[in-house]
Amino acid sequence: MTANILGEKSDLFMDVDNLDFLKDSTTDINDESYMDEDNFGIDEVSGAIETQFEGEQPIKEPLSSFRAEGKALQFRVGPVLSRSLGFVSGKCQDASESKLYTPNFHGIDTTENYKQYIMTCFEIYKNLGEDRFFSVPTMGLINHSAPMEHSQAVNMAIDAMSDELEVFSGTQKPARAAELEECLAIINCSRALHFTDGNDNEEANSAVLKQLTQWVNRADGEPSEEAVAEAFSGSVSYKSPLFWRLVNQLLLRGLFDQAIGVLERSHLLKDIENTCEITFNVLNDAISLLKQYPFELGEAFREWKATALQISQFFVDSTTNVDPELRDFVSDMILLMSGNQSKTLQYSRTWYESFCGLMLFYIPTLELTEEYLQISLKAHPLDVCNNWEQACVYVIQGKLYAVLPILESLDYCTAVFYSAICEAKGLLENSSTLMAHSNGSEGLEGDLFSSNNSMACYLMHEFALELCCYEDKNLWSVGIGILALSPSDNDSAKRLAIAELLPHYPFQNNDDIEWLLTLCAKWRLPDVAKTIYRILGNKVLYENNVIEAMTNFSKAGEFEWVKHYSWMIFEASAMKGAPLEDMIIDAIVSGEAETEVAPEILESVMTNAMRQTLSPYAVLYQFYQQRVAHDWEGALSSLVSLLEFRYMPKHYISLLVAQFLYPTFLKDDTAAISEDMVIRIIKTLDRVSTDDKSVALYEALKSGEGRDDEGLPKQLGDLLPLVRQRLSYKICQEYMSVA
Amino acid sequence: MKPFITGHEDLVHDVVYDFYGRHVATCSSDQHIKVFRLDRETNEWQLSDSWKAHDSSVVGLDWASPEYGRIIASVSYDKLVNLWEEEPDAEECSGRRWTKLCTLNDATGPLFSVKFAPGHLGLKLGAIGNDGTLRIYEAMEPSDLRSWTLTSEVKVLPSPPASHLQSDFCLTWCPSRFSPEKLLVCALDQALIYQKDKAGKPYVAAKLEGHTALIRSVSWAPSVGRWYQLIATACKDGKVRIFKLTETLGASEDAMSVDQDEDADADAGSADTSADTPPELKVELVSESDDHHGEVWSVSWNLTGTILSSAGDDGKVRLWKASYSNEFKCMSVISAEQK
Repeated sequence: MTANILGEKSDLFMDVDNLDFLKDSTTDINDESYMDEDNFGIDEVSGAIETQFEGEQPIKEPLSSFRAEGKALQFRVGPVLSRSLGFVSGKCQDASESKLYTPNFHGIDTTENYKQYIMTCFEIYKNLGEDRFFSVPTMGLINHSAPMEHSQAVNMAIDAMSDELEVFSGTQKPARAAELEECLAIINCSRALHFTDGNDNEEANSAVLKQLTQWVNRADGEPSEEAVAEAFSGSVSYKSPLFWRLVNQLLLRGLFDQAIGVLERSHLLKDIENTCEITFNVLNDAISLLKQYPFELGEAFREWKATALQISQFFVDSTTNVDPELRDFVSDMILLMSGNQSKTLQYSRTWYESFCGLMLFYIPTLELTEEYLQISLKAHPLDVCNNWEQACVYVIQGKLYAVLPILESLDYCTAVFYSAICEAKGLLENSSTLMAHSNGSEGLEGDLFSSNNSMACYLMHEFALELCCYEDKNLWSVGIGILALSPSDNDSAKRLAIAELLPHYPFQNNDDIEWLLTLCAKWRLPDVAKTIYRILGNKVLYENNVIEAMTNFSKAGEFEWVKHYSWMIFEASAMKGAPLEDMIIDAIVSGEAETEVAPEILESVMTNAMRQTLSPYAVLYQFYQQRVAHDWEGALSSLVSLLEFRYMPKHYISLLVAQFLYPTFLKDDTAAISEDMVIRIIKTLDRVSTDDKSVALYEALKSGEGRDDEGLPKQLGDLLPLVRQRLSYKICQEYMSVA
Repeated sequence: MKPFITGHEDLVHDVVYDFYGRHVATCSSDQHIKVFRLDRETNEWQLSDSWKAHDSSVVGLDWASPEYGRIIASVSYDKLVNLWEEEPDAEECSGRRWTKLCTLNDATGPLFSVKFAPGHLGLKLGAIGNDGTLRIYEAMEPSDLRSWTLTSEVKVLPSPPASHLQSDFCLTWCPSRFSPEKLLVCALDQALIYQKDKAGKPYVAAKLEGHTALIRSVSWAPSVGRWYQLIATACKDGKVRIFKLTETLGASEDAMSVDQDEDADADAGSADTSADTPPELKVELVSESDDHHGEVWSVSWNLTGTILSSAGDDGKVRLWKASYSNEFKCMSVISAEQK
């Protein structure tokens, strides 16, 4: 059965400890074809990553010709970063080449998967609650378990982040996935050394060793299938040094089940069972010992190591009946298991394998990590081509600040939340400590990017602002959330930043606007709210929704604008000679709004300013209703009230006279007007103007569609004498009726 | 998003985004302005309208803040500033979607640059051109967009540059709502920051020194979460420069700061050091790079003032970002050369 299970070497080595390796080791991230996928290069001048524009490039000719032709490359960063544009200006441009080009930004990921990853990381951080802040335990703490609980909460956060990164990495193309895998290696190394409970104990606990092996095996998925195949290539595999190199490599990486599987598959035990009892027993003991490796630790490791040393000593002292070479191989394995430093270094291929081996078999303690690291690096220098190796060295050395730029170059979001969690754990200096150390040169206020802020705060603030350059409402919420939750206690700087940002929020519906206004209220930003109302007002105005525009302008405190649009409504209706067919407006001015419009709508639409500024239209509306009801006296009274209204613009007086007074009441000989009323009208006529606006309105009125001109004179100037003449007639008519 | 043809029949001079980045306006020597709208479904730019805007090359344009509607200002070598408003009811691509609100014709030479002030300062714009004079116009009554008043006229250059010499002019407003009104005007190799004195008259509050050739482009960073300002310039001398501007209430001894009293006394005769005196400006050059190895043509900040782009004669766009220690570093490069 075992043979069946172990029959497939791929099963054996690529599902180690249920680790789902992302890629096989044959994939080389430095392979050109691998990198071509995203068209990355390196700029010779700055050493920065170089990308290109999408598709066709702006400069098609050699650069020297481009310049000689007087052309110039220009670039505009858009409010949405990914929509920035490049173009060519200058002489001799061919019209067909007048194009706008979109760039490929390195590190700007607009995919849904990335957005989801960002949001999840933020949720993880947010859910830390008060554990986002690290506080040094002080004397006399009531709750002695608080530091441990805090530690556990933060450990869980980094675990969750690592899981999310793993999931996200699995959705990415190889080049991007390789970068994320490097991030994962750094996080896993950090988890092993800084985010395991019981770090205060002298000896590392089980989590340390398990996470250590997980880190090494995930970061560098050795041994490869080729190495396994080579180890089993000979007729008698266990006689090959490659075989023992494989076994020992597996041991150094903590892959004990796999090492035992390799030994069993080689038939070594079967072959020596009858030839050398001592070697057979020693190997069997070693296998049993491996199966009992005390990840739980404590006293158990000392006993385990003592047994390993006993087996080793016993084998050295015994005479065996196997090839001397095989005896040496077995001896090496036993020595390695018993923590022999030289064997550990001899059989490891990399510094991290040595490091892991020393931690597993020498003395598993965090106190010796620096020493183990130095020994390992001396034997196996780190590969400077791998970002994660250098970063992990920093992690082991506790230089977490040095890790952040490396992480940042690989994935910004990961760097940000990693630093935030590290600060929560107390691994990075926080802002309050920095403030205490600062010499006050930043002043009391500082800002989001001042050196008074911790590194984590700095990264968080930068990232928050970057998220506002995506046109994504969810990321905007995360951005504002990060600013609000960042450990910086500089609320005035946060408020300032939010005030500058909010008007740019890409709102689409009422919920978005509610969210914006809630933030304005929360951060006490009335001026920003006014800006938003102004923007909204103009937006709905372009959608021909005048009333809603007026509502927004009222809320923005732009009463002149409210007045302006109220008069526009008045003018439009007066020109039409009838009420506007707008249910809301008519309902408001008819005084029946409460019955015709739902109260909540009315409440959200009507403002006091609007009630006041729409009152002339309300009177005009009343006039229309009286006219329809043939209440001529009432209608005239309403009209005269309008004419007498002291704030009525002059050009509307002539409009009212021409549109309503003359045709409805004066032209008709049969309509009687009281003396008092005539006198009131005569008084208002003093305000009739013949200025440009009045003339323009009069012309427009006369030329109105489908209108007979109601016997109006050609010129506005001729209207007034005509009106006066008709008023005289009306007075005469009144006298005659009295007489 | 693939490259798209603007349809301009001559060279494009300027490309400007609206406030939310959902529209782009372009102008060209073909005397036309074109407005493109982002199609959200296809994520592609679609032509919204195109119209003949001037009788000469249109060299600069800008969008007003959406607080005041959808308004574009354009300037041309025909010495005019034209203001345009969108008619949402007019059909797209009809050539009638943008109607002219008014023409401002005070300039005596070709105009190069026009920029609206940020929305919180009201509806106003600045324009500068070859006559070396900065003119600031305001719509005193935002409900009447056809009526604009010339509120300030400032001679930036003592005399217009000789016509046979190359010249360049540009300007940018301070976008911060927490900082007093100020704008930067570049004329040839001079970069001057204007601020208003107590009488509301612009005076030179500071100079950005060090330019040894024409300043091609200038961009004032949005100051989100910062108490200081950042300004970038692109210069023919091959340098991208970033200046830090700090407002101080006390006297400044910085070499680049210009004593307000001198100008204000001469111009307004009203400079004193009372509490409502505008703050003095301290200017520091925080970054100077010649990475482009040639003329730099444009600089432009992102929405939050954290990333600066520069484009130059090396055929590359460089993106700059400040580190924790406030050093600006080239974070990535976009090559425009066909490979």
